[in-house]
Amino acid sequence: MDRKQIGGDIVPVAQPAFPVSVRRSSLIHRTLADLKLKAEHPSVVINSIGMKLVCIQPGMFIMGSPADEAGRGDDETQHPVTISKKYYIGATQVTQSQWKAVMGNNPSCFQGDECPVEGVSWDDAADFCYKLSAKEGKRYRLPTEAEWEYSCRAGTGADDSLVGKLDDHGWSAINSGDVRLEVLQLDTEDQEWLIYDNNCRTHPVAQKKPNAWGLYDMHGNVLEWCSDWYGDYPDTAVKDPSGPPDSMSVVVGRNGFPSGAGRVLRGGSYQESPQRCRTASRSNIIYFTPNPMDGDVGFRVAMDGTEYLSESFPRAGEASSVG
Amino acid sequence: MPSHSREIVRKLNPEEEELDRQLVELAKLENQIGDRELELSTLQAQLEQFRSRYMSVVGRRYAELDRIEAKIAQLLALKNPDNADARQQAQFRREAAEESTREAGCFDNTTSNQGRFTPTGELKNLFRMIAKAMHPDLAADEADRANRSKAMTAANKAYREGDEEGLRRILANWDSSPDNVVGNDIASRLVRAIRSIHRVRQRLAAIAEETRQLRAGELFVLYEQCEKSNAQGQDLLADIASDINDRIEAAKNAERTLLEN
Repeated sequence: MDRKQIGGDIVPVAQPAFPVSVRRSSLIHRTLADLKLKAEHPSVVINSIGMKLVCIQPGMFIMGSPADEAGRGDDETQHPVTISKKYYIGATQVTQSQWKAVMGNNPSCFQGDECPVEGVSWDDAADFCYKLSAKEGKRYRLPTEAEWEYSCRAGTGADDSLVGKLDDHGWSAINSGDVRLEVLQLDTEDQEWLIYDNNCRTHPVAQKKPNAWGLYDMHGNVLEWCSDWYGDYPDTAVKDPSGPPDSMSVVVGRNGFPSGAGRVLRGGSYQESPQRCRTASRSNIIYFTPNPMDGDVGFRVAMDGTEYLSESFPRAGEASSVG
Repeated sequence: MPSHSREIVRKLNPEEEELDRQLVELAKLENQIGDRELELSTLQAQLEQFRSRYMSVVGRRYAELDRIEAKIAQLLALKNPDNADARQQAQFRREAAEESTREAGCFDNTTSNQGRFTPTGELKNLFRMIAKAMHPDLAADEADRANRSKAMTAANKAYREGDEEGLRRILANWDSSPDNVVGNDIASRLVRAIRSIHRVRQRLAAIAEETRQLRAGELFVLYEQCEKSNAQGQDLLADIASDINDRIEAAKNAERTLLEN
């Protein structure tokens, strides 16, 4: 195209001819931050002993059970809980093969490499976390009780432990033995013998359906240790709760147990009724011994979200064995 | 005797020679500014299109999540009237929700469902010609500048809308416009040419800076990530939206539980 001749005085350029299209956006900033977090904290990682950990996003949920929930305990007061930081939690209970890889022994009553380890005290579980942390350079720990329930609810608010659903999601006394038992049978004084005679037992992990966040056996199989001391729930909203302080307190809780005297167990087990395997159900073991353990007690591990960095996380087989 | 034809060549005087040199230089710069304006306008259009899609797919979901979380915070504050933290949290959440709603609402719905901005070769060519011919920085005076700016605004709009016919019309109108024909003596033309060169160079520098700023911005960073994921057959915006949907569902459940108890 021909250039036109121009005439007249020319004024200096003051403004760009076209509009600048970029405005600062807090939503886009937030999206990039979310993407960065997601890249640094993948949703699922496998550690050096083949343990699968699922990344759980922060959020809010109502902890405890409504007053009309069947089988509810007095210690399940509903209250809003905010989980402010992401964390990782084991997709399954710690298996016997994983336990052996770290601890070199196997205390379980029901032997099976893929069955959950049981017969471990809270101190044993903490020791496992300590040794696994030393092995990988990451700080493994037990989940807090709030993290455990948040993970179990998996953002749905639904309870997979309700009778009828439990068969799909977990192992309780009803379905863990040779023949199926009925809830009514379990409500008798002979429950213990019934469970024993029926050969109720642990089962390999991840045989049932996972919950919405990919976590297996959140109901039954083995009870799971949490990091918290057992105590009454607060009535109001709390953020990242970690239980009452460590003490044989004179304060007696709603269910008659003293606060801070035993560690919390969650999820029920192969030898408990479906109601004891409910999402909100809480247990503890107080034998007035410093280190109680039981044949249906195991655990799963957790880890702060900040512990994981994709570049430095050891791959299976790369980490050195525990000395 | 052989006849010798002799061409009569008028020797240019120094001013005319200098004018020629300046006009050649200006012509080169006009080509450059046409290309650079095209690149900048294309980038702006791509980013605006992307922003609209982002707000439609992702932004509005963040806004929804924030609104539900604000309601939850308000419910908690109502349930605990003596708790100052709960009241403060409710106010903070409400303000955050208002801001994200405002931002997510500030986009052009008419373009949100369009695909990515992919101009045809002809569209680009027409825009390049217009930018070269009508660039405001080539204006002779203020009136001319206003005229050119108006034409360029219309050209920008037509370009972003992929309207080739519109661009052709703008070009035809400009070519036939009597306002664009001006004559003058050599000295004045030389001065104008020199000033035009200076202004075009300034504009080229401004375009380079504007392009640099666009590319350094967060919108471009996100745009590039999405382009990379598209190249791998993935839809990053849809993935982000899905993640936020999960969080919305969880928040709705928490809100429902609070309302029921």
